[in-house]
Amino acid sequence: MRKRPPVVIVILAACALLLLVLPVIGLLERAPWSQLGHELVARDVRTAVRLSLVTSLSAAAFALLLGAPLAWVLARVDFRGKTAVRALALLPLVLPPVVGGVALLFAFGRTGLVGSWLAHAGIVLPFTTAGAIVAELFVAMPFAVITVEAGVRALDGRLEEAAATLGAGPWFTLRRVVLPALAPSVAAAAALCWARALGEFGATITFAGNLPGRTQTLPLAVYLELQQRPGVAVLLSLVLLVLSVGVLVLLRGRWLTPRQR
Amino acid sequence: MTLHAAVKVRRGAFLLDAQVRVGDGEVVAVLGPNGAGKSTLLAALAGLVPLDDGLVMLDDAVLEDSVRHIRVAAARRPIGTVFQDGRLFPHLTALENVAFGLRARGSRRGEARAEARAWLDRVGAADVAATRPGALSGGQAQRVALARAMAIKPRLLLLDEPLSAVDAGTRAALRREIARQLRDAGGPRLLVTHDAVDAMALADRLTILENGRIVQEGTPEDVRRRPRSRFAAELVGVNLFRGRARAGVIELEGGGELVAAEAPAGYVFSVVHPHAVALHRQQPEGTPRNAWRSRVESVELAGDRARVQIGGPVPLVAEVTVAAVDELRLTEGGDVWATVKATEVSVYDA
Repeated sequence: MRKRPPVVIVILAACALLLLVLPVIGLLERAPWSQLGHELVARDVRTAVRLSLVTSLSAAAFALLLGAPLAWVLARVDFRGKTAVRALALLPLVLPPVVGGVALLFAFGRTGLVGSWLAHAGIVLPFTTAGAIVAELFVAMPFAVITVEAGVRALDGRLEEAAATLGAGPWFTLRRVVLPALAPSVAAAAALCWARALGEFGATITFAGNLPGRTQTLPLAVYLELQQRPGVAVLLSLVLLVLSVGVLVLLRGRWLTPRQR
Repeated sequence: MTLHAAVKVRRGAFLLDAQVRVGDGEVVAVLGPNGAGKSTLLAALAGLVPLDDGLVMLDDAVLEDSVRHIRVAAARRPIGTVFQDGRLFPHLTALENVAFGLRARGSRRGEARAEARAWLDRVGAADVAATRPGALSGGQAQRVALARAMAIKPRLLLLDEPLSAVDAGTRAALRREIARQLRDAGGPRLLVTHDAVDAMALADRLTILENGRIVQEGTPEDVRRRPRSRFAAELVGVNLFRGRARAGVIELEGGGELVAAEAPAGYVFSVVHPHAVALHRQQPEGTPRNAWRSRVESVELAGDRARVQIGGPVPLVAEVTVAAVDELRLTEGGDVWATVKATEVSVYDA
C-alpha cells in the first residue's frame, strides 16, 4: 500500500524541483528562437562548439585510457596505501576546479615541476588546446575511475577462471571476456567524463586561458558573451543544455530508473 | 594417461587433504556432502587454486609440485573443466563459446567455428549454435559447456556437479548424454557430485570425500555393500553402525547392542538394510535376537512404500508397506517395537 507522504516533505520536494526547473525555463524563455538558425552558423559560435567537442571528446578518451587501468588496479590489486591512492584519484571531484587549474600551472607550466622538462622537449601545455584538454582530463578522470572500478568489482571472476581453463591467457581473457562484460560501465564512464569535460570552466580558464579558437570552450564563451552579446550566450547555453540532456539519455538505464533490490 | 594427485589446500580452518589417482579410460566420481571440499579439489587440479602442499601429475608431466616450486598456470594445463553452473560467456553465442578455447589456442576463426559446430553436433546441441546462454535451458547450457570443455581435446576431463543445475525432467537425458561422452572421451575423467544416482550411473570407481578427507574408495558395488561412513550409508539408503564386536555381539558407539550371526572380533561396521527392519505394535513373540522398544520419529511415504525413522536405543530407518503403516497405526511420536534378525546384520572390519 502506498502511504501519503507528510506535507512538509512534499513542499520541500516541490521547492527542490522548482529550483532545478526554473533556470531551464528561464533559459528557454530568453532564447532567440527566431534567429536561432542564423546565429548557430555564425563563425565564432561554430568555432567554440567545434573546439569544445574536440577538447571534451579527447579528454573523455584519455580519461578512460588512463582512468580505467587505475580503476582496475584499485579494484583488483592489494597494496599498501591503497586508500590514499583512491583519495588522490578522487580528489578532483571535490577540489574547486580553479585550484586544480592553479595546481596544473605549477606542475605543467613553463617553469613548473614537469613543465620545464616538457618545454625542453618542445611541448608546451599552458594556453594551448592541449592544455585545455589536460585541464578537462584532470576534472573528468575521477568519474572514469569510480564508474569503471564499480564495474570491475561487479565482474564475475568465475568467467575469467573458465577462460583460463580453456587456455586463454590474461590478454585474450581481457579482450574477449572482461572488456565485453565491462562495456556498460565503460560507456557510462565515457558519458559522465564527456559531460564533465564539456562543462569544465575553472581549471580550463586558469590553466589554458581564454583564447578564441584555441582554448575558449563553450562554457568560457558563454561567460564572456553574457556581458557583450547576451543572445549568443543564451544560444551557447542551449547547445550545452541539449548536449547534457543527450548524456542523460545515454545514461538512462543507469540513472533514470532507480535500482530495485 | 593417468592422473596422480596429492592435494593439500587450506582455507581458514578447513583443510582439504586428498590423494586421487585416475587411470587411463577410468571415470572416478568424487562424492561428498556440501562443503566436503569436492569443488576445491577440482579447482586445485585445474590450477585455479594453488596447492599449499602436494603434487599433480599427468603421466610423467608435473603440473604442480610444491616441493620443487613448480606450478603450471591453469591456461597451460591440458585439462578441460565443466563447471557446475556452466559458466558460459554470456555475450557469446553457444557456437562462439565452444570455439573460445580453440581461438585462445591460436586456431583461425573459420577453423575454430567449424570444429565448434561439429562438437555441438556431437552433444546434440547443434540447434542452439546461434543462441546466447541467457536463452538456453539448463540442459542445453550444460551440453554446450561439455562441448566447450571437450573441444580443446583435454588430456584430463573434470566435471563439477554437471547435473545439479538441471531440472528433473531433462536430468535423465543429460545424464545419458554425459555418460556417452565420458565413454567416448577416453583418458582419465574425474566427476564431482553429491548425487548417488549420478555417481553410480557415470563412474567406474567412487571416492567418498567428507570434511576434506577421503573416507572410502571403491567400486559402486563396494560402496553399496560396505559403506564406511554415515554419508555413504545414507547415500545408498542403509543403516550403518560402528562398534566393537565380541562373540557375535556388537557394542555400538552410540550406545545399544546389535547381535549378528557372524562377526569378526574388534572394531566393525555393521549394515542393516531398511527392508530387514520389522515393526510391531506389541513385544513380538518368539526370540528375535535384536528387539527394541522405540518411538516413531517420522514417517515418509514414497509410492506404496514408507520409510519410518525410529529413535530409541538404536536409531534405525525401516522400510515397510503403506498398508503396514495403517495396520500398525504408526504416527510420529507413537510407540513401536523394532526387530532385526541376526542373519540380516552384515558385519565387516572398520
